[in-house]
Amino acid sequence: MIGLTSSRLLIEVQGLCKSYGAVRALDCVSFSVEEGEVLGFLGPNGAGKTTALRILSGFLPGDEGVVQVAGLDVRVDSLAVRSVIGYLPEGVPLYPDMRVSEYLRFRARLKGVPRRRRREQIERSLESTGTTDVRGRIIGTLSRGYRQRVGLADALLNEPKVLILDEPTVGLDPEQVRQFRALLRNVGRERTVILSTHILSEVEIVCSSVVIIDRGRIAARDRAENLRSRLGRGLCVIAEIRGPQEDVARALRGIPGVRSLSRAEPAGDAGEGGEGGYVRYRLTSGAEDDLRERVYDCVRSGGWWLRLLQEESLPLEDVFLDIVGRKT
Amino acid sequence: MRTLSATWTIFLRELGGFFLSPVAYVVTFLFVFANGWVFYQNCVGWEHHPQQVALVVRSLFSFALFWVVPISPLLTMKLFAEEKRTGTLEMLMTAPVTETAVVLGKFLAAHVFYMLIWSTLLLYVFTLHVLGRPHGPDWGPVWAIYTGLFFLGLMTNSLGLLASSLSRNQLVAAVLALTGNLGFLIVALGSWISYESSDLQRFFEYLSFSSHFSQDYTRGIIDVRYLAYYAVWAALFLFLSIRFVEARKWR
Repeated sequence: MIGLTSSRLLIEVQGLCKSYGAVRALDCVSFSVEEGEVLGFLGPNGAGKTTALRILSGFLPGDEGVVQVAGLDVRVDSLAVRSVIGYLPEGVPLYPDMRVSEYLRFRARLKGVPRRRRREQIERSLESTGTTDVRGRIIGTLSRGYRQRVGLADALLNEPKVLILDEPTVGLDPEQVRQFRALLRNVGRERTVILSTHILSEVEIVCSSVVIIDRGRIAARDRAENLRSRLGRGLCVIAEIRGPQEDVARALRGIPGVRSLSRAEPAGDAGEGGEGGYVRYRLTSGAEDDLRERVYDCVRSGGWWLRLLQEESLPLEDVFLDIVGRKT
Repeated sequence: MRTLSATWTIFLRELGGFFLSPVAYVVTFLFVFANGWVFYQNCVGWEHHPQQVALVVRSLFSFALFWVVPISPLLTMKLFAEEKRTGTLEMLMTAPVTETAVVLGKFLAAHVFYMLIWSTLLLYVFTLHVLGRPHGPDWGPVWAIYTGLFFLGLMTNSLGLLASSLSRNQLVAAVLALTGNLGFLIVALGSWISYESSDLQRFFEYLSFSSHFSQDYTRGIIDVRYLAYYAVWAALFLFLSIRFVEARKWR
């Protein structure tokens, strides 16, 4: 139940609105995060993810609504809130002219890590982010992936209860993304994490739950493993059929339960009618409904040839676009 | 207490930043080089003058004074503009520190580096002290000038910091601050125009820092009114800087 204060709720956002001039970035957003959750903030670019995270981290105030982190109001106890969160802004802005260890020392002091724990804390941060071997390097000379890790090391310095990461894997190459996600999973075992992303598969890999945000509104909130099935209304069937194309298409459209039909890329070397006259069709059904038998019946009654019939779950990207109501 | 330690932390980082910044080295080099040349020319020019040492010291500082106008903007221009441009301000302001601590820390760092640049002139005075024995320079006016420079720097550096907090472009910040400093310098012109009315003339002279130096400090007089005048401006500029760093929250 959102709105009830439970000891396990770490973050509570209620009716949060924020406008930049005439542009409404967040429109009455409410959600809560439990302790230990790894929450993915998912949405297309410009959906309001960064705004929401900036408000949570105390960089910007909201116009209306209440935001509480660990029972403290972000506007009233801004400093106290900032000392229990670790925040990594988008693009990881760091001072390029400092050495990694220098920078972390500066940040630890700034965050008020007590002097006797500082050294140990920096070591631990370096170690858990795999940056020990670049500690003496100047930040400006580091690769994108390492800068990201240094940013994460910084965010971990004050042993935050909540870790807030804004688009942490943008700009990394696939190998760095893989490593960084593994790192995040590790870090997320012990603490609450909120991360924003526009990459769906990232949510599936890293997060335990997800908030889908679009045009300033929350479109869905669910556990990550339910994402596909709950959002994925329907399945997709691929069929390769040989026959007069217009008749086939008309007949396939006529099958009850078919929501959409498209001609997928024909397999192999495509001639006029695809390889050997076969054309690949892609059918989606509106409900959790297996179309395969009906497709087979349809082909048989037309007297055409069928050489492939298989079910696919919808790619997440399609599901996502479906949810936020934008057609490709 | 937390504010104080945060101010100190930011002060140390920014002061260190000056030693890593090419701009600071270029400014210091030009300053030392130009003043060294003036110093040499004056020493040679007044070689047989009975007042040689006093004249050299006075002209050294009256030439150097105009360096306040470009030095402060060049030192302070990056302090906020650069952080805003690269986004590090977001890192800084999401750490548990107040805007006041950040502004004060940066201001103090700029001020200390500004005084370091000025302290290079003491080398020349010291040279006269050693070589001019037994007729060495009078150190009284020198310390008076340094007191004046210290307080003047409070004003010009805080103005530079304010300009930097207004812009995300270093150049714009520098030009803004430079314009402000020139404004404080050229109100002295008002006293030339209004020389017939002595009240108005004195009013303009109070406002312009160049007349404070030519009339008082170089003679070893420290006028507390002028120091208070600089300090009041500095307080205003710092207050406004804090507000402008907070300004992101009003939009």
